[in-house]
Amino acid sequence: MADHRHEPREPFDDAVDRVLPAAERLNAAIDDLLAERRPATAADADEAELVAMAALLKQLRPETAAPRLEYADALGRQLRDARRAVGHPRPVSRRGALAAGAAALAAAAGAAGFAIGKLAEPGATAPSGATAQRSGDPSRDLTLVHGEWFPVAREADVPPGTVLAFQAGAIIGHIVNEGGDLRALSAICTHMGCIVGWNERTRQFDCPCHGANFNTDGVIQPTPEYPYRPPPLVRIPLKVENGQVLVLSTALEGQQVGRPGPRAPGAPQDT
Amino acid sequence: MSALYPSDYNAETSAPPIPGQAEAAAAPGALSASVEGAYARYVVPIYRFLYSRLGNQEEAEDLTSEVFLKAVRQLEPQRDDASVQAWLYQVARTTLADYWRRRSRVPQDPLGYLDVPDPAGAAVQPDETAGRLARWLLDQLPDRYREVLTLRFLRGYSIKETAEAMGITENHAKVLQYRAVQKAAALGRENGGPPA
Repeated sequence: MADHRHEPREPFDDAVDRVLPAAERLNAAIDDLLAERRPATAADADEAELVAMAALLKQLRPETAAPRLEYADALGRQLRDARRAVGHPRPVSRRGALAAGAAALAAAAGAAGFAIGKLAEPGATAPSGATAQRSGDPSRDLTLVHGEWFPVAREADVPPGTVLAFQAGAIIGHIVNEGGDLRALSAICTHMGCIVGWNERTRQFDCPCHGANFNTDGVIQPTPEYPYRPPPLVRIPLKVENGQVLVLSTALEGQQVGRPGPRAPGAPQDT
Repeated sequence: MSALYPSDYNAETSAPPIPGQAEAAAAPGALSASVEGAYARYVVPIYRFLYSRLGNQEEAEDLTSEVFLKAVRQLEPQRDDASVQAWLYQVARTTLADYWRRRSRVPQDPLGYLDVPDPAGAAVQPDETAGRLARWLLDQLPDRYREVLTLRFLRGYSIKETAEAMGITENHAKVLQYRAVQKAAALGRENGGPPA
């Protein structure tokens, strides 16, 4: 470390000694940035500029920054609480507390190959068993890098023609049995991230925010009231094992795999 | 994105303005829906923008929360998507500037020159500007400066590993790193951001 003191002094050494305190402080700040920590307060404007430049230089890294799922979820809850305090009633859904977090996850997955939820590309590896229900259109399938299988229903609970809501970890969705073909669709509307609900009468998923309707394939059905074509609902990998229907998701902090969500599978649907 | 959406769909721009949205927004609960929608759509880009300026998760999370909590209180429900996005980026910039003032007693964002108003509104993502500038600056630096920054930032080496890789003492590596960052800061200031 201070070994230069024991070597013959070279011109560089004097310069080192002079600049070293500032260089040490910047180095400590860079160590903090590399460890994703807040650096110490800068001593002056010059130092602040160097720390800001160091932050910018972190952009050299190829990986894209994305908020942690636990953070996105906690912030979603905080925003809902704050909004209630401001006096606006909860609009969309009485479903669990995870809506915005899950919406953020879905949005992130759509926007940029989120670190946690990444959409399948040709050649991307799906966890074993995840291919059982491929849609034939891989662009709509969700692949999780660190996914786990969550049991959401018994196979017997979803006979042909049934649609069941589920919540599994960070994902809210519906299990659809269309003539014996089981599939799981995300409940996050691909327009603005609201939560779609199943309408038994029209046999469509309705979005309460802007009136989008999706069929049981998750494909938008444009109407005169909603003449747009956002992408289809994201398909969640699903498999059946020992009479259990499992979907691939990722656990939220403090949650255990397989714990039923607030809405028990098999509970009647409201529309 | 191209993997998810049909090729003719652009998630950034094609959420269409909804006819009657303004009237709908006046209904109770519509504001909440618009803030939740804004959160779902923009939490990732806003976080990424703030992260590109702060360089660490801890501060990026704090400031992202601040931006969206302001949105709960202040974002007008009648705004359309493009204007919500512009509003959020503007609030993110103000929040960043306040943060610099509050925390470092620095009157403004030291890299404020990166905040070139985007004529197209939302076409250029601010974090892309930052990444482009970082790569450009690295290319302008003398070899040794570029080497120390590459090892440290791109490879994530400790200062000790960096010194070993370069065959110099740790103190020498610290000083080299310091001068390299100084030089990069000076270049950024002189050029006012990356060349277009």
